[in-house]
Amino acid sequence: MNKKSNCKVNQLDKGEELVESRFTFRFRLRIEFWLILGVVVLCAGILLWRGIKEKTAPIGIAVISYDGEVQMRIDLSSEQDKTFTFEKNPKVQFEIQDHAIRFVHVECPDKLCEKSGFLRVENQTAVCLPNRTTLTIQGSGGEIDAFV
Amino acid sequence: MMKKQNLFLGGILLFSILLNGCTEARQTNPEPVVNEFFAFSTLITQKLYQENGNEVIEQTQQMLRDKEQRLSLYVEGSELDQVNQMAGIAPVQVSEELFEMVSVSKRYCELSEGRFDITIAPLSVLWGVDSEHPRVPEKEKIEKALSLVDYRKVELDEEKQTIFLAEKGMALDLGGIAKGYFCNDVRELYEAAGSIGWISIGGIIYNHGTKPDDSDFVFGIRDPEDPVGVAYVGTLTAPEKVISTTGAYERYFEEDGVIYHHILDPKTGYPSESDLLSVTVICKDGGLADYLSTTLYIAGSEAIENYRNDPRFEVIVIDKNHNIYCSDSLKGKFELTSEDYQLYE
Ligand SMILES: [Zn+2]
Repeated sequence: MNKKSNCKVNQLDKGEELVESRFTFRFRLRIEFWLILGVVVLCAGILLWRGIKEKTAPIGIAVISYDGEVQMRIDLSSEQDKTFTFEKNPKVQFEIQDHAIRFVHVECPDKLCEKSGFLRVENQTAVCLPNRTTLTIQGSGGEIDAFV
Repeated sequence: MMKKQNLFLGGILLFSILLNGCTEARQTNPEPVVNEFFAFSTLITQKLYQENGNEVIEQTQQMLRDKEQRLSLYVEGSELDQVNQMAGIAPVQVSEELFEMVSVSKRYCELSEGRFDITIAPLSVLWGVDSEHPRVPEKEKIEKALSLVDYRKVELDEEKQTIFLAEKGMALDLGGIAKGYFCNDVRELYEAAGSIGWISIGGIIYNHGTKPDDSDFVFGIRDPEDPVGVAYVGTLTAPEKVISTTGAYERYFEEDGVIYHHILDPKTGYPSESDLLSVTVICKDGGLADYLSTTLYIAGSEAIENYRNDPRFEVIVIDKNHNIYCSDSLKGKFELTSEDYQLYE
C-alpha cells in the first residue's frame, strides 16, 4: 500500500511536474519570442536610423580656422540663423542661414571668399587667402573627400 | 528561475553583440587628423588617417616651409632670389634641388614652345598675381616686362651647378611647377611613414593609400562656371597620383568692370584668353601635372586632342560649350555627375 501510494504520489508529482514544465516551457517560449523580436526590432530600428542619418548627412560641423588654428566649431544642425565674427580677425564675418554658412562683409581685396557662397555639404571648403581664414564643413562621411 | 535568468542574460548578450555590430563601422575608423597652413601664397591642407598623423603632418609642414624659404621668388635672400639678383651680372652656384628644378622647368619651357616660361617673374610681379592686390599694369610696363621673359636666356652649367640669367632685370618664377613638384617630395615622406590620406597644395592634390574602409579617396572636379564655387562636374579617383586643375575661376580680380584672372600668357603678357574652362591633369609626377595643366589651358582646345591619350598622364578638359574631353583610361575613374555638362566621345 505504502509503496503503491508512494508510487501514486510520485506519479502525481511527476504528472504535476509534467504539467508545470509544459506550462513553463510555453511561458519561456513566449519570453524568448518577445525577447528576440524586441532585439530584432531594436537593431532594425538602429540600422534604419543610422541609414536615414547618413542619407541626410549634409548638415555638419562648420570649422573656422585662422592661420591654421581652429577658432570656432559650429554645429550647423542646431545653430540659429545669425551673422558673426571671431575674436582674432574681425575683418571676416560669417552668416548662418538655414543650416548653411558663408563668408559675408569681408574686408579683403578679391572677395573670392564671399563668392564661394553657402557651404553645407561635408568637406566643402571656402578660403579667404588675404585674411588667412578658412571655412570647412567637417566630416568623414561625405561622398567626396576634397575638391580640385 | 535560473533558466529564466540565463535566458535574459543571453538576450542581453545577444542584443549587445548585435548593437556592437551596428556601430562597429564607426569605431574602426580612426578620427582623421586635419591640418592647414599658408605657404607659397596659398593654402596647404593635409588630412591623414593614421595614429601618428600629427607627426607626419608636422614633418611635411616643416619641409614645405623650408622649401619656401629657399625657393620662393617672394622671399628676400632665398636661393632663387640670389639667382634673380645676379641676373645679367654673374652665374650663381645653387643647391642640387634648385638646379634640378630649374633644369626640369627649362625642359618644359622648350617642350611647350614658350607657352610655359619660368622667366615669367617680371610679369607676375607686375600684375601682382600672387599678391593681395593684383592690378592691371600700364601697357608700356607690360611690354617692358614681356621683353625680359625668355627661357632661352637661362644658362645652366651642369658641371659647376650654376644658373645664370643672361639679362639684367630677368627673374625666375617657379610658381608654375613648384606646387606639383613638391607633391613628389610629400609622396616620399608619406611613403616612408606609411601614411593614408591626402595633401592639397593650393588646389593641387596628391593622395596616398586607401581609406579605412578600403575604398579610394574621391575628389570632386569643380564646376568652373558655378557662381558659388562649391559645385562639381564629376568625381574622380586617382590613387597614388597628383591631380592638378587649372582654371580661370581659381583666382581673379575685377577692375573697371572687367574680370582678369591669374593665368598669364607668357607670349602676350596678359591673362590667357583660352577657349577652355578648365584642364585637369592626373599624373604620378606632380611637376608634370602642374606644368601641363597650365600649359594645356593656355594652348586651348586645338592642342587637346594630341594629349588626350598619352600613356604618361590623363586629362579631363572642359570647354566653353560644356563639353568634357576625357582620357579613355579614365573610364570608371571619372564619373560625370552634373547635368550641365556632357562627355564628348
Ligand atoms: Zn576674402
